[in-house]
Amino acid sequence: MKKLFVSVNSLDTVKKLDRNLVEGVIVNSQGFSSGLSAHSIEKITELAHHSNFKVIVRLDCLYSEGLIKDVRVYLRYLEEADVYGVLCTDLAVKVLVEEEKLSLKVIYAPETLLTNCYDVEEMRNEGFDHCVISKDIPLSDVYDILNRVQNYCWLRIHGPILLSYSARHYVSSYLERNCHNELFELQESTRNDRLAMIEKEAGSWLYGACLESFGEIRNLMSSPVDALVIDNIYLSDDYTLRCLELYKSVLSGKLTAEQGIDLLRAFDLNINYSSLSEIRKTVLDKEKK
Amino acid sequence: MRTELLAPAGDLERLKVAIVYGADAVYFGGKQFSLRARASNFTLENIREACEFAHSYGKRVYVTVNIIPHTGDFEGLEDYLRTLESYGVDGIICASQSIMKTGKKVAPGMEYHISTQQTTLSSAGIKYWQKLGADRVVLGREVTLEQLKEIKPKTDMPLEVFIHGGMCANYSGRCTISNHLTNRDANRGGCAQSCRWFYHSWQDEQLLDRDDGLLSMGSKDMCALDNLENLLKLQVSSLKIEGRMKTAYYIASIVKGYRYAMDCYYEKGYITEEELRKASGLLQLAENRETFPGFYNGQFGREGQLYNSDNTVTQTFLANVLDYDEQTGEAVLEVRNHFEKGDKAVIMNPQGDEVPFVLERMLDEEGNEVEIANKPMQRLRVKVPVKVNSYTFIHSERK
Repeated sequence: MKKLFVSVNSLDTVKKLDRNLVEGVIVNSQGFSSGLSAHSIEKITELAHHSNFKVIVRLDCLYSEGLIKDVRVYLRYLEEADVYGVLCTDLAVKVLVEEEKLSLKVIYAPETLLTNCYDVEEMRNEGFDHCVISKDIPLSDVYDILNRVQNYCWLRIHGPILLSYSARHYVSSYLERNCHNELFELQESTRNDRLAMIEKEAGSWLYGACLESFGEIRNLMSSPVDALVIDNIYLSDDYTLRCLELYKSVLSGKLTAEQGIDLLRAFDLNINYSSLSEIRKTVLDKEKK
Repeated sequence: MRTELLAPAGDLERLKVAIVYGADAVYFGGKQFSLRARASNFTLENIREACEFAHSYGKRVYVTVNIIPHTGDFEGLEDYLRTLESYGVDGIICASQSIMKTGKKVAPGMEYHISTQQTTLSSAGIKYWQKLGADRVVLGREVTLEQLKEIKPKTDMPLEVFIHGGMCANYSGRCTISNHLTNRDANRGGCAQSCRWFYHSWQDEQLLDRDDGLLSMGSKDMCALDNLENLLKLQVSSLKIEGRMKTAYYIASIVKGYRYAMDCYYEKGYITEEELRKASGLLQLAENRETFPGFYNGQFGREGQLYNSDNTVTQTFLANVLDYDEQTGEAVLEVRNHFEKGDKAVIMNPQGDEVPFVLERMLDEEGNEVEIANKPMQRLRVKVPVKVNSYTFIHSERK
């Protein structure tokens, strides 16, 4: 069984996780993460000491010079708390971990930037413990990277697809009121589907359809991926638990992939899905052919 | 140390305009490995000519190799970089760590600048690239002036910042709206600018649309003229103008405006209000979107966003100059926008002040007198009060 890391909003949810399936949990920090839930360092410490799960703290903002001092201090706290690692978007985090000589694992997850095997190899050479491959490349490219840089990469297999991250406060600016820590939906004026947007002090995050990998999960389990990630960002923990249950059933053969996604759709009719195998080659790829 | 004024070039013509109007360096993309796929990028032969032209003026040339590459995109990279080096390209602007490292190995005679696509916002981020051997870091546009003041004393890495032009609404390189909504890859030159579209906004099934328009993530353009003196005092290495898709007239007026203000600063150590007004007048000639100072003054609200698609700015560009007869004092103009006999116009030359004049007798190629110039690309012979050349632009008086 491959390592599976899963995001949780409530720390109480951790008690409901299946130890045989889940290796670790991804949680949000106070002030340094994108998600809407946030946990104090005390709560994270308690979780790391008592849950028997590897605890990963999401540090997926981009940090300005003024915040670097705070991030440095926070990383020291995480080390003391026996946190396993940090999921980071900003290369500065790696520099701070090295300068502080911390043993925290640094998992680089820049969302858009790791789209080829050479850059992934570079990150390994530079001492990143793991990298999360971009979700914007087709499955054939994903397998190509996994095969070339074996047992190193992490892959996001489920959760809302991040479309953009901005320092701007889009909804606050538009509505002229403070909309921090709120969830909105944007609907392009000629389309029907809606895109989730989270706004926080650190900026705005826009999400597209929810990625799912029921049809691919068995192949991925036998691939040279190091870990798989279910990161449901703003979706509920009940939804995440249902996801885990269904993936487990598909892996054990109790359900087919089609049954798995159908049952998940039935759990929440408002969620649109995009399969991992549906991520298309973009126009430039087609032009090359 | 004098700060470099770095201008964009979509093709050779615009590169030459940027240089004669006062840019210290120019950047552009080749046919491969570059964002702005729709810009009329340079062939290898163009790049050779660009280097020769720029170097003859003592200016520098940077080539963008700034795609976020997929594994298959690396084919031909090493040969491409070696060729650029052999042509005398001074630097490569890249966003991929492996492209930089490949370049350092196979074409070490060029500098490697880390693109803003990497969103470097802090001294710690800069350290990462310094350790890897980068020669310059282009900071994210989100860095404020106060943050830059904190960063600068902590690093000896040459830093480049944007001062003018279009802004990605999202962190550059961190946006794939275009990929997912249009299947065009934002990070490999195909951005459809989906951020500039209009969106209904909802919360808990409640429609939040305002009566005066829908939400757009689209940004106003940046204009950092009011922060120029501070940026020069900080001794950043390079001030960058965005706009590889922009016209030669745009490049000329923006470069001339900033060149003038920078020269004023270097003459006496400050820029007066009067000088800023004059520089601003030049910048306004070229505006095609509303501008604001970007993040330099800190976080902002509505004033940084474009919510209306109809905020067009009046076109001031009237004509190019194709030829000039010194004996008769007549110029051959190529019409670009409507003007009429008797209109007041202004001559913008690469050097010197603008010269106002009245468009009097206008003759077409057959020698017929023309009252109204309204045929694009029509050639008209017109008397002008000063010497002009093929880099001269004729524009209308500012409103």
